[in-house]
Amino acid sequence: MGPVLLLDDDQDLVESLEDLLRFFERPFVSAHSVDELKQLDGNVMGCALAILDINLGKGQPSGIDAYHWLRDRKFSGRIVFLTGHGQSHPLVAEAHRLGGTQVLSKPLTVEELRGLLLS
Amino acid sequence: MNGEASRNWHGPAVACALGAVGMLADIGVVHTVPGTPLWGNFIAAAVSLVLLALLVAGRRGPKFAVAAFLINTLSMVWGFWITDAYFVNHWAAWIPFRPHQLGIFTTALLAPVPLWSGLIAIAMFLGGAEIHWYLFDAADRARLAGGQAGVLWVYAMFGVVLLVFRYRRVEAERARLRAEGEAAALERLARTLLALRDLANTPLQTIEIGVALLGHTQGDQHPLLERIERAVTRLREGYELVGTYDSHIRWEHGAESFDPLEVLQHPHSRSR
Repeated sequence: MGPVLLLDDDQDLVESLEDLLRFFERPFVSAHSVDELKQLDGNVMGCALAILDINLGKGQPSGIDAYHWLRDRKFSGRIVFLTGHGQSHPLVAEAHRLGGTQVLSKPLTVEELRGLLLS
Repeated sequence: MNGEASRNWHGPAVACALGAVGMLADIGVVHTVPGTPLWGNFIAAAVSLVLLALLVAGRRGPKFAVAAFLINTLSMVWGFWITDAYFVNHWAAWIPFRPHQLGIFTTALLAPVPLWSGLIAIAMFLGGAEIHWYLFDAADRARLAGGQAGVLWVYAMFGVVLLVFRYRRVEAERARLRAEGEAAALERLARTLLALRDLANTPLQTIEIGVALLGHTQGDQHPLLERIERAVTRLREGYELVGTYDSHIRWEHGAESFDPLEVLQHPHSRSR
């Protein structure tokens, strides 16, 4: 299984997901903002799965922006949005309209996370 | 006192100002009719001015606004009564009850809520004129334009229709403002709950993962971990219910990404 890209502005959650991925022995690349993601560039394109938080902080580019950046650069992996927002939130609604993505609401159960990270 | 109640004194204040100005201006007519006393106009104008002063000075409660409006009306009707008693005998070309007609329409435009205050004021103008009319000598009634007392009924009818129409519009406006206020309050609540959920979901996810990882080292059946798992499940279920409020939020362009802590600290601000 290819590496997993993690994008979330919450340091603790990223570290927890990293711990979980280590447990599953799956490689990963992580970033906390779209700017940081762009700096990783080459490391990101080889990922098989991208888990993107939608709200990356007030005034910051969102997970949707990250999606467009990835797609513009021909990212071929699977993209999953992980959000704490409700389904009616405009960014979540926009994420639903994007092609080839999945939108999941936090908090996922460990079984759901296992299914996601081992897929 | 809400905004609408605080504005309920405007109509009575304008009515008092018009009453004072009108009664003082009427002196210009009164003094041309021999023998007609001026003190009725002065007293009525003084009452209007005192009421106006009290309203402007801050006595603006709904009850006082209604009382001021009715006392002002009564004082004017009384003032007209005093002068009309002389006009009928000493002014050959007098057309009775013109000020009463004006008073009825002014009432329809300026009466405060509730509706009955306007109805009583119109009844005062109409009743004052009608009673006085039938107290005039039969010869005077025959000499004067006899239709004027009857015409006043038409004015009163139109005044009541205008008054009711105005009150219905005020009621509709009041209902609209109430609905807008409730919607705004609901939206504020929904934004606050969304921020709370947004703030809680990521830590909950972290706990969920942490408990799972600890379970592998401590054993899945550890009672402490089981309790934490149950607590997380209860919180998750609660926050899912809170999500039903999301539909009340009207999102503004550019406000989709927000800082939940900022929203919780400033719940009355919309564009957080």
